[in-house]
Amino acid sequence: MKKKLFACSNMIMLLIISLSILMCKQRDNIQELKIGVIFPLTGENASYGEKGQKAINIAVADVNKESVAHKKVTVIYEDSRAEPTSGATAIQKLISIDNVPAVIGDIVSAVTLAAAPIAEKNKVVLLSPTSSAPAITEAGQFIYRIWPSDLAEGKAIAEFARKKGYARAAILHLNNDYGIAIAKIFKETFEAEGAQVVLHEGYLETTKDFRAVLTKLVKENPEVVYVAGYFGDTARILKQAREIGYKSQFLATTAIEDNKFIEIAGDATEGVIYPLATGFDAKSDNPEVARFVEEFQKQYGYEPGWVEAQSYDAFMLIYKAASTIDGKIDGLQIKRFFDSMSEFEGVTGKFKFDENGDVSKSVVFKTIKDGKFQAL
Amino acid sequence: MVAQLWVNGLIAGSVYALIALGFSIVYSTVRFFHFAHGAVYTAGAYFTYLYFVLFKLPFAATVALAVLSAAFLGMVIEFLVYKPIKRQRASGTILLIASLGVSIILQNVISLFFGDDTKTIRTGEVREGLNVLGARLTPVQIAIILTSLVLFGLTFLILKRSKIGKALRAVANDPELAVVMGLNKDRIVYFTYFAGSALAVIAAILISLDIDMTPLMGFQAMLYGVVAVVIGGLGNILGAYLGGLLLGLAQHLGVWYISSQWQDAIAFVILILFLLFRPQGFFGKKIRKAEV
Repeated sequence: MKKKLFACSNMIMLLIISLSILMCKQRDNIQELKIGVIFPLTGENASYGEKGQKAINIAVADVNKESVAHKKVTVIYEDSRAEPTSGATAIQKLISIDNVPAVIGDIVSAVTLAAAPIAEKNKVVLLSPTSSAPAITEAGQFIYRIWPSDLAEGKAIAEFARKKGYARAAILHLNNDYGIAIAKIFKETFEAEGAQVVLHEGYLETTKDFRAVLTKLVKENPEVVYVAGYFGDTARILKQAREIGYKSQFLATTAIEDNKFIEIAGDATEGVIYPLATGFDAKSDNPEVARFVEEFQKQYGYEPGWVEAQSYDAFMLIYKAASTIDGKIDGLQIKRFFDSMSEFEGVTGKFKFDENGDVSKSVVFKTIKDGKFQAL
Repeated sequence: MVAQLWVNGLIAGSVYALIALGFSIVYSTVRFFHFAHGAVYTAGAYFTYLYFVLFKLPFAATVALAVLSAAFLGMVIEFLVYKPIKRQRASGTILLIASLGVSIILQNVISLFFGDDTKTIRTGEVREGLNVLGARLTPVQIAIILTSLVLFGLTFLILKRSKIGKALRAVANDPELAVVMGLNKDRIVYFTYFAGSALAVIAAILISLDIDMTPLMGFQAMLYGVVAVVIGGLGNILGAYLGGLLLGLAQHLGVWYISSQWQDAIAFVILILFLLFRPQGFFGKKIRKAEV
């Protein structure tokens, strides 16, 4: 009898131990995956951040719906205001308080560059959906991006201008990391091919009145004007150029592909040419892309653009990395996955990282015709 | 080309001048930097957007309503914030900090309701400007220059001729004496907020028609306004207007020689030079010690 009791209690003990081990294992499996996001959610560039946020929300809902047994994902958003100092504070908070292994951000290069050393020091992966500044190539071992460097975009549009036979160009650039770098590459490429840059001027992000510099353009009379800026400033430049009667071919950056751009400058935007290196095409018949576009449209009532698509892919890529990892996920494991992965196929096409954490995608040229963004 | 430069400067200057004029009217009676003036300016632009684009009112009604709303806002700020603070015998510095606070709160409220993106009230297509003496000017820009001049004239007449204008100048000169003489100082202070804010709103409507609006537009406008006021002579109401014009011209002519990224630097170099060498401003008289 005693023996029986002993065996019984042993059995119960064993059951408890194995159950608790199982529970532990179970808890590990449905462990929460926390991903940080730093986007501009207030301030002048908030519209970029809001777009990215919408796309990530869709992605989170998608994975949480289908992956009950897998990892529950929560995303913690921090506002960078598109300002380097706010971005640095934001990533510091995400790393030290929320303990995230990976951060998506920022849309704006200047903030990504400010956040990079903090991510690098703490061995946290920083994956930017859209930052294009060339300096990000060298920003660190843990810094990745799924948007090609400006080297690609600036070079492509300069070669395009030369191919069209333009010999005298003017450059107006936004005076920040983005504008300066892209303008420099344009100038180098354009001049290397024997042509001349007759005016090379920076302007501030707060500038609204471009008439002074436009008057200089009238004097220099270049054949083509490259505006290296975001959509708001480029729109104001085109509108004011039309008003002072300045006619010349305008070239611009990928950043202008935003409906606000056409809303601000109206028909003055017609004919501007810009490159696009995202690889995202909302009209694509790829089923994954079609599903994303349809779902996005259902939820938010408009067709997603490149910011939305890039942000969606950034999230999905980190999620994919995390789902291959058992137990606690840290930045180093995600980095290992990124470094060794074969091609990832997202809604922005197929890509893989090179040794600097950069990707390369093919560039297409687009223009605005009848108030719509169209392939050239 | 040169004509275009002068015209560019004149357009920018006309707007700065209106902001500075409003700011200066307020300053003359309350004697502290009412930084929230910039936020009232922004609010004016968004009231216009609200009435014109969202409520689809006719433009004339929009202007009238926007001016009244923002002028009322100026008075509300005095009533809800400055007045209670003044009752505690706070110094000008405290009021200045309070005004910065009000300015940030207002700007955030605007962001909250309208979003941070650029809004425009432009209708129709963007057209080439008219050729005036070799410079290109759009009808809106002509309206900016003319409206600004007319408002300057009107302010001049009100200050010099009307009863309230004279009372305002009396309070500006010596508030205590004015009160002893039986003037209702409170009423006059409210009037200055009303008139000053109304001028700022008209400037905001003009700039929104010409360019566009963002919640942050007021802050920079305010900084330029302060520089204009210093150039014109602090406390010299009409000098502020000319200070604004001069600032606009200096910026646009200056950028002809150096890169346009230094446009802000030009404004503040002028500010520092004036503070160092002519603190009484272009049009101010030097105050001798005996007069103080």
